[in-house]
Amino acid sequence: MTPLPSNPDSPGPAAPAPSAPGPGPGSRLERGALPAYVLGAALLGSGGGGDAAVYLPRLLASVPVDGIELVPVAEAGRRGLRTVVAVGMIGAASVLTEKLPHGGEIGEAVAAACRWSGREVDAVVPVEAAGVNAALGVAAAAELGLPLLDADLMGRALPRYDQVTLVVADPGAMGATAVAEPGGQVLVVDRCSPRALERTVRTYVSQAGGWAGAAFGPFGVDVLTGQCCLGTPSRALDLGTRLLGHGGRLDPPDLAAALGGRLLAAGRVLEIERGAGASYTRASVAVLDRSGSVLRLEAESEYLAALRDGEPVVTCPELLCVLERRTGTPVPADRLRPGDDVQVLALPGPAWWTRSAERLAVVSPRAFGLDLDPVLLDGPAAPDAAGRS
Amino acid sequence: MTDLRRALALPEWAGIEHAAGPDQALERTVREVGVLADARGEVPADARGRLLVVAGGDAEPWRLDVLLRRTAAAGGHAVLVPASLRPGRASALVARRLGVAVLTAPDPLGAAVALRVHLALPELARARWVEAAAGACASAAPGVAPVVLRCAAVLARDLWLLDAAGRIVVGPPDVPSPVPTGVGADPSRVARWLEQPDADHPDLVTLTVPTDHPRGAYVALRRRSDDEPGAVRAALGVVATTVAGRLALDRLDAERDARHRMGLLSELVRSGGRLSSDGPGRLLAQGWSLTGHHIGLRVDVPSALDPVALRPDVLRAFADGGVTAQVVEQGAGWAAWTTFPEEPTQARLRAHAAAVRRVQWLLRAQLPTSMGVGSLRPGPEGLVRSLGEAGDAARIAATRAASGHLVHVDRLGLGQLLLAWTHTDTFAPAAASLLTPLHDHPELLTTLAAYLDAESSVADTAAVLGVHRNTVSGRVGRAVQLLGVDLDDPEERLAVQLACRSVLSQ
Repeated sequence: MTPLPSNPDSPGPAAPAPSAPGPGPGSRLERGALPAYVLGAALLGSGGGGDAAVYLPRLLASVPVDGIELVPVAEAGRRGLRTVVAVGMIGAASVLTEKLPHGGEIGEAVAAACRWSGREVDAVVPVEAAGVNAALGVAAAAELGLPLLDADLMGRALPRYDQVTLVVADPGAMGATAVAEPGGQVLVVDRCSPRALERTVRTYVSQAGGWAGAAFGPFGVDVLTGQCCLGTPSRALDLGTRLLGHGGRLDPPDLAAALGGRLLAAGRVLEIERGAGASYTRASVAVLDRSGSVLRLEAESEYLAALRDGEPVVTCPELLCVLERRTGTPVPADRLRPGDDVQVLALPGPAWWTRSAERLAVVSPRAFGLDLDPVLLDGPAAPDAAGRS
Repeated sequence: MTDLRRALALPEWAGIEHAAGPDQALERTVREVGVLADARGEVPADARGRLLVVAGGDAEPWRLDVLLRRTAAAGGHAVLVPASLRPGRASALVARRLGVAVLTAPDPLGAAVALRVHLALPELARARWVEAAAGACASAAPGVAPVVLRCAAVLARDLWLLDAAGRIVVGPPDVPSPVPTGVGADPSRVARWLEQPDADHPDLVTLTVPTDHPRGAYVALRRRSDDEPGAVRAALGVVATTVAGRLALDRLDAERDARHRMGLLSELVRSGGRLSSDGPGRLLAQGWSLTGHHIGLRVDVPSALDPVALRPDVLRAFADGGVTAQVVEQGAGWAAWTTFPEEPTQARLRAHAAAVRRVQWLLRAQLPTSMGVGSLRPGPEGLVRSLGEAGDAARIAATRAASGHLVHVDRLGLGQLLLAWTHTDTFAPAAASLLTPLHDHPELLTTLAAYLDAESSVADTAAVLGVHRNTVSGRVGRAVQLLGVDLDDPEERLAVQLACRSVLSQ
């Protein structure tokens, strides 16, 4: 078993052929695949998670041409990866686009976490391989010179700390949390309940500057077993690749089929009402489908539920994606405007959340203050199983 | 029962707007109002004919969509929401697609209450009418007329009790025109009209009284334009039922009284005017006086008619005609008599005869009566005899259309009286059978009759009939031959003469 280098300068194991489609054991996420990866991450954002595309130039600059190592969780043990740190950003993704990162925030947070715990890390796992956090995970792996585990702790964009798989499974499993804000301040919080952590960190972040890089852990890779969403980064890459592949012919039903989802509506945005929601701004978007039916999307940070003529058709934790009809570009919930010509797709959400009623309750509409039973897509769940095999 | 268009016209609904949904939904029937605390409230499984009122609470637009969806799924067609829940363009579109009308109200609960009151009004009105009618019926004095009069007073409406011929029994004199009156009107047409007044009388509500009274009965009420017909009909039902009950009671009383009267009269007739020891008390109870002078009267009607039930009509005819008389049901008709304490003068008797004629006219207007009048006779025995004469006269009167079916025994010769016997059930067939051989020769029969009446004078007979004497003698000869009788035998001659009278008079 080869000990893994924790030095960013040392090259990883030999990469497979750059043209190999999708990640396999020991595959790499190359720089050339990053636009597709970021696009797919936007789909996994379900309308939220922040705009990763804004971060793309920065990401392209920080990732070497041959990319970073993407290691399936099952392979980690064989590869000698024993300790992992979960990374991401905390705060408002919209602030990130105004108050740009200097690039070292997550690195500083990881360093603080290592100092606090006295452990070295062998690999990085994104907390949320969706939206801007998907990009930040790759950036952190590149910066730290560590492989990226092909998994995440949410499976899609979710807004809260209590919606992290590991927190749901075992609130103490991840250990300390370190946050580093762009101004240079670092905060380490330990021995804290998830709710207290959320409150403490959010209070700090809102005072400190709106967003901060965060590191959770380090913790043993074995902690992830069965308690994370497998293959989310490679799913982002796969979805993005498929979407880009359809750049020229974006016939709505075909596109939905190509992405493994269902077309809910295609037409113009009729009306948007925004108001205060349970914890974030609530938006109610009505799309007038070509058939004449009205598809209403209820959204906070993410699109949470779709109702057709008053009947719920799909809700979280499935993914609801609004794409610009002409270009296929995903449109986040906070950017949608009346009159936009869009298509609305539902894609299968992460399977981890639907395996038990307790998990589902954490990410169902009621967890967002929407008094609706979850309505899931029929058919195959997200290709999480593929990532596990 | 109402619809939203009518509801929107309610003064309490002035601030309510039809904010979304198809206009047709406003035309549909609303029977009930269902109130939900807010848009999250449970929509009833069956919302047909129900206006769902969302009492309050803010809600996100999707709530309204879901509410509309559930309403449509439960068969509902309208919701009323607070003005704060006014549907946006999308919800309005959903409402139109689902065929559910959305009304907005500044005060949804107030609107719900107003609509409930509006929906309950017909029942309320009905309850008030029925209660008033029931109270009036319960407090009415015994008898039929007090019920009708009391109800008319309490309900403050014109109310009539009519018989099957459309005649007013009780009620104001202006007949709800054009109820056809009098004999000659087609009874089935009258009955149809009474059950369903024509379109010219939308204000008239009529109802059949459930009675087996031979004259039939209807109650009719003239309603005001704002009276609910259903409520009026319900109240009229109470009146009709009460009237039917009172008619039955009256009938029971009448039957009992009739039995007393009839028993006393038949005893009187049987005993030839000499009653047993309890006689005077019973006479007093009936108000009869056997002393003084009496004129017997007899009114016959076809046996299908019920003398007990029709006695009030006869009494009324006597009263209207100006004849003071005791009237007793007897057989197929009535026996009656006028008692004069002192022997009446000729003028008085003439006046009485004229009054009796008036009575018969009045009766004939309603019933196929024939009336006989006996002669003036004193004392109990005289009464019995005069009644007997009146009975004979009435029998003769049955065939006397020319005299208005009225025969006065004083004006009858003894022969006519004798002749009356030839109309008995036993003699008439015998007479017909005796003269059967002449059946095909009517000229022989008339000639024979005239010949016998002319005391067997051929010349007189020829003069009466205007034929030649030889013709008379020829015909008489043939008739005698055909009949095989001997006219020189006084008994055979009498029999043939009576038979001729009997057959010819029929």
